[in-house]
Amino acid sequence: MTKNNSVAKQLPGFLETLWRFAYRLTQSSETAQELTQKTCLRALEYQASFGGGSLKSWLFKIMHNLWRDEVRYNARAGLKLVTETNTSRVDHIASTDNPERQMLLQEVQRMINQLPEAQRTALLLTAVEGLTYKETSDILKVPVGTVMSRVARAREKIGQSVLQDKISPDLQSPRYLS
Amino acid sequence: MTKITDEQIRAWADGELSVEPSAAIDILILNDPEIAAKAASFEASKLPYKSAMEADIPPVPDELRDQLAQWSQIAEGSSRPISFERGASHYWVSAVAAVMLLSVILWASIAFFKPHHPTRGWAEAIVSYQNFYVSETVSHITGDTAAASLELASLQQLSTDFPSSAPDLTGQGYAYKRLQRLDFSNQPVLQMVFYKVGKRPLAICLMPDDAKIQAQFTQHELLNSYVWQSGKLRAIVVAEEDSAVLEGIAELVGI
Repeated sequence: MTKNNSVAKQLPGFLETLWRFAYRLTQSSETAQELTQKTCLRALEYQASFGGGSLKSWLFKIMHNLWRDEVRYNARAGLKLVTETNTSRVDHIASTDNPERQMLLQEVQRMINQLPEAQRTALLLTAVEGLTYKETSDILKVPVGTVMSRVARAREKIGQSVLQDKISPDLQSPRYLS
Repeated sequence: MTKITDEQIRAWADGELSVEPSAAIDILILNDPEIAAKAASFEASKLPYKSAMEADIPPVPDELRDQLAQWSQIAEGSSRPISFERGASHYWVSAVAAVMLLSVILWASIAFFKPHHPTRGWAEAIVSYQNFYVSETVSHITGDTAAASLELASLQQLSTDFPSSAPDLTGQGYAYKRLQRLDFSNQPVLQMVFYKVGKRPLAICLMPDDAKIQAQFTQHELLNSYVWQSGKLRAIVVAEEDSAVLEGIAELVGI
């Protein structure tokens, strides 16, 4: 396998990961599909420029760049896709396990999605995707310290919401936090 | 420890600190209400983020899986850099880009002194949105007319001026692909997407607006647009087509 076509060989193995990240970023299956396709096309087109290292980080960087440009432009222009409603998302969660945990997951999801975009992405990459601060800083093209402070601000904001009784204290019991 | 960062308090709350720095923060919490409040927030923010964000993700669409398998196969067989969207070599692209940049500077200088069309910002936003979508991402979609009818019915509740069905563009060689709701400055926008082999996707967007606007054809970088008034709706068609085709589509949709 040459370096030139190694991305093409490995890319299908990352589809699930890319799809999930795209869905978390966009909160819409239609847009997630567009974003995943565009990321894959871009990765295949520029596979020769992949310099080794973590392919997942490189793909996330492409996806985040595409999404950031989209979000920035649309925010300036005032145009946005009306994403899938909270109701349908709640229905998905409601079909999982016990009602208390469902409520907690629903609340956590809502709080993450209400964060400012920069904090939300930093939290998604670290706490959800499990990337290191260094990997996240490479993807977001910001210093490690900025990632750390964005994650800390996001966590503090979420914690404040929890303390203001936006989540029932009962649900904060460790048995629900796995 | 005199000065403490939020990140250190976060690490303390997550139990990532060793005994000594952790004990130092314990003391600060006891003596400083502000740090104590922050520590309480970080403690309260220890939540199941991963589970919450994985709870409702739909499975990877089959067509996406199939499409990627095809693209990867093509790319694997190629020993040279490939281009899915551009036929020209990158050298040509660079040369064209340089010429275009000069044109844009010249155009911007002229445009600065010209009055702007009232719908310019809206039209540019729609065109830019459409630029995000390429043929490869739209061609595989099977136009779901039942879903379209539902979306149109919900849009008609917002404004009865929205149409009850998507126009038939088969005469122009375009197949209906999908319909979705956008928002422009808190106004509902209906976007209908059509596809023809060898062309970028065509989009028609409609938004309630009974201001009388003048029809206008505009050439953009990759696509062209035609804005017109369709009854009480502001309308735009965006496609890789010339003014005659776009005006024909506008007539079909309704003037």
